[in-house]
Amino acid sequence: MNCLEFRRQLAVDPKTRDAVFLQHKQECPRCAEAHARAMSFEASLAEAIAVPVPANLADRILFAQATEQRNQARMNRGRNRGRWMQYAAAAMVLIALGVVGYSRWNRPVLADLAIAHLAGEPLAMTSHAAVPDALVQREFGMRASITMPNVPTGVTYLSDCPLGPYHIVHMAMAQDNDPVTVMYVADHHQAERRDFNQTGWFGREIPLGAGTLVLLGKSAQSFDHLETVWRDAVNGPRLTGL
Amino acid sequence: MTVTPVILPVSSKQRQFDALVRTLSGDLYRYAYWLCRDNALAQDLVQETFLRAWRSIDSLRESDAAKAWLITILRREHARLYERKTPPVSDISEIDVQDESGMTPERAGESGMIRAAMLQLEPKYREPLLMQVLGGFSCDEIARELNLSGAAVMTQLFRARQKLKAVLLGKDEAELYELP
Repeated sequence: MNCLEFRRQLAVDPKTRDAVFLQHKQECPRCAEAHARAMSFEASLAEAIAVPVPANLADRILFAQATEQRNQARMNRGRNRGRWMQYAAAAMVLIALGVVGYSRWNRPVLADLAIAHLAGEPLAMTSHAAVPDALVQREFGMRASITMPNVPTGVTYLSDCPLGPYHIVHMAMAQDNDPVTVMYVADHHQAERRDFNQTGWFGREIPLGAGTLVLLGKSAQSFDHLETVWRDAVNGPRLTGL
Repeated sequence: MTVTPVILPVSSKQRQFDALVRTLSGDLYRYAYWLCRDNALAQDLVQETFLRAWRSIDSLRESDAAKAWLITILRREHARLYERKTPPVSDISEIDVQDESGMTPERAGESGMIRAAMLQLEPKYREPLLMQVLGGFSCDEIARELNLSGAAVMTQLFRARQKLKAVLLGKDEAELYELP
């Protein structure tokens, strides 16, 4: 490093610890003097630009920060309160949906209701008098809005009854061996046709029209026949042999 | 009945921030002051800088980087200030920089002259010089911060000192380039 390079470096960064710079300072008295002058100037410069710092500046900054933090916390609490209100509202909706869903899902099984209902109407199975077709047609028209031109033969009992949450047209039909109870549940459409056998009763649930036809008897012997005639009666006869 | 004093736990984050404010608010204020040349504005700038720093203090990993980090925030804040509005800037001749107490009249006079000379420096010379003298930044760090080349920063530092000396000595800047 020569003197010119040293002086340049001195004006750029007098406090540099560069080894070559420091070595030249040691070797060149005139540059060493220039370095001493420069360091004196640097000290004056540092002193001059160190303007007085306002009293309590740090405390004021910390106070502002603490205030902002508290405001933020208050806003967050408000936001959280609003969020909790939303959660509460959502929870209420979920509970309401749950209750409705549960009540739908937990509806009593049709077969259980039907069997239990029989015990409350013992006369239904002992009646042998034929019920006029017009009465059956009227019941189906009123309860299920079904127009039934041809009523299956052999209806010996007719009543409209509540069955748990449903309404039914309760009928009995005399068959060869034993009478069969026929219930048309107008306001419940069973998804699938199924047979059951419980507490000594044979039964069949048949989705029919907008509702469900339930057959109950001591045997299931006549169920197929009855299913056909009631399907024909509600849906109209199937066209066969065409 | 004995009264137990309530001692609220202070988080390590808060302790870090307290230390940062107490250690660096002075230097930051001085930097801000020379940037905007207004005492009240400088205080606002420093306060806003620290509030922003508080919000993102988790990003500060090394204590050595704290000063540079704060100065970066302060410079951005200062630039934002000018984006929003033009703050009232006093005429250089009207600015009265307080002298530090305890200084001899000679020293106080010298400091006053240097400050007046500093105020006459164009910002492009004053700012790198402040970063070096106040902030203790190297040329490379200044170059990074000001988005300049290292050579440009060295030139600006060189010329800044020459201009200051010229004002103080009442000489033409060119005369100072000669080796004594």
